[in-house]
Amino acid sequence: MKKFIILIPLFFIIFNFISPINIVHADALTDNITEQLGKIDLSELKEFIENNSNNFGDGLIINLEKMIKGEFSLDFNSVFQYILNLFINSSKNSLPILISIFAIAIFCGLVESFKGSFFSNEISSVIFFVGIIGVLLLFSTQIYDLYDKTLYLINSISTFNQIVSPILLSLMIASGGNVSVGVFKPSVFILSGLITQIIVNVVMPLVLLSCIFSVMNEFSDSVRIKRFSNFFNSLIKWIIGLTITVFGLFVTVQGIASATFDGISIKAVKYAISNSIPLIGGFLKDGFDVVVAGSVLIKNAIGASSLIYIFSLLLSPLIEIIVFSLLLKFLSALIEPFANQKLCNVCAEASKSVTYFLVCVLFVFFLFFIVVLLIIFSANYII
Amino acid sequence: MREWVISVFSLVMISVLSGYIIPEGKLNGFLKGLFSIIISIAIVSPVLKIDFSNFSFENATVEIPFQKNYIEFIFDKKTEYIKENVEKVLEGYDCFESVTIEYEIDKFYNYVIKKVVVDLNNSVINSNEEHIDIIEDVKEKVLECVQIDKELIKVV
Repeated sequence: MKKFIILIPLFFIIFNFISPINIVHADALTDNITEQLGKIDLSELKEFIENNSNNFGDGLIINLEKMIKGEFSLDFNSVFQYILNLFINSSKNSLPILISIFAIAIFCGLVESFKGSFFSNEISSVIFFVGIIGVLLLFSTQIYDLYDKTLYLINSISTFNQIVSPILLSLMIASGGNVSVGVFKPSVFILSGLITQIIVNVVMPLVLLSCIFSVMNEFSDSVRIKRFSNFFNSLIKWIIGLTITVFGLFVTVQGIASATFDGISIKAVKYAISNSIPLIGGFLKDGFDVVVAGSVLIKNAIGASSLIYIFSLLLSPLIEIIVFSLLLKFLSALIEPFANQKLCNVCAEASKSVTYFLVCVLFVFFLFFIVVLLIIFSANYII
Repeated sequence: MREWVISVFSLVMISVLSGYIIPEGKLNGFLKGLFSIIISIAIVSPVLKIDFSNFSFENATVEIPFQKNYIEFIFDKKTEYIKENVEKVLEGYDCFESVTIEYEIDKFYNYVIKKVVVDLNNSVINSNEEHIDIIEDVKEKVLECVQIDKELIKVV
């Protein structure tokens, strides 16, 4: 993408010193791009953006046109300000729950220290049990809310992938990358279908189960089910690790081979057809090259815009998850000096489970990022 | 899964509460052991019900439709440019009238030229000139621009 943004002004400079015969003016490219943009159906994309509006993603289509013209630039100050505001708001929202848990921890700690003198062992055990149930009720709603948001986000990434991929793959076909399309089509299928289903139907429930079992383990010394929680955690790590390894190998190896094949085959055909002036530094010569260059530019712009939009979509829930996980961990450290060890463990285990939500979201986003990036870079070598 | 979690959670709660209610002694120890076994069975029970024979990946992939209108628009443009190239190459022939290119999009969305029809309507044989079979010549010229089988080129 950067290559084309740099090349366009170079066209002006160098072609002004060369014979006007066979020159492709930037106007022709712009006109061609405008014509192609009119033919591409972006209605589903616009509908998705309208239904999932956020502060940064709403300008996706406008950013698309600016990106193609090379006028797009990210305002990093406003991005960082937005992220900072998200952190502050998430912390404020989580504070009431955490203060309540802190209060319960202090009370249980006092009861623990007065055990034997003011309270009998049985009464202090019952009070402690009630305290744990209270803590569980307090953060369970927040954890389930984050669980819902994570599932919604993963499904949104999958849906967005199903909307953007036909556009990108169609643009790839237009630029002659048919072999690359044959490679990326199954990758997109698998990402939207199988991997999302594995994460939503297998990994996320395992995360929730791991959290529940590790919390239940702290109810009493007689209940020992911690290793089930460890088993679920191992299962999660293995599933994610295997999935990413297999998918990464598949996409990377086939993607490199197909891009080279498409590039070489197209160039061989062009060399056989045109026995004329060789291309000078990749400048456009044939009329149809303008069309191909236009579709490559549009593909790269849509790909880059999609990545920025999805990142903007997942920022808010991501920061909520990070803040809640960190605050729970901080709370666990804060109450350790005076509270019962089991209460600290409950907070620490809940924090670990919430971190797994983050892992699932980042995993799906990372795969989407890789696929779109490969699509952007694959058919660029054709012209 | 919800029912399973609720059942395990309930068993754990009953086990803990019975530990608090029943005084320390043989009965308490017996109940703790019993509840531990019941909880273990309750946790493992769903695994025994999983039927791996019905498991398949058929519904695992999602069909992604391409933008056919856009692809046809691009391929129409490609056809126009190939036609222009062929016309430039055949300009030298006085009898050349027009060229028509028919294409199709195969199931892998490849651009495939089905037929190239070169119209030489204005051909006039000059009796003073040596007879030249220009049809083969025209076909060779067309092949320089279009990579297809010679049989698909028709000269009328």
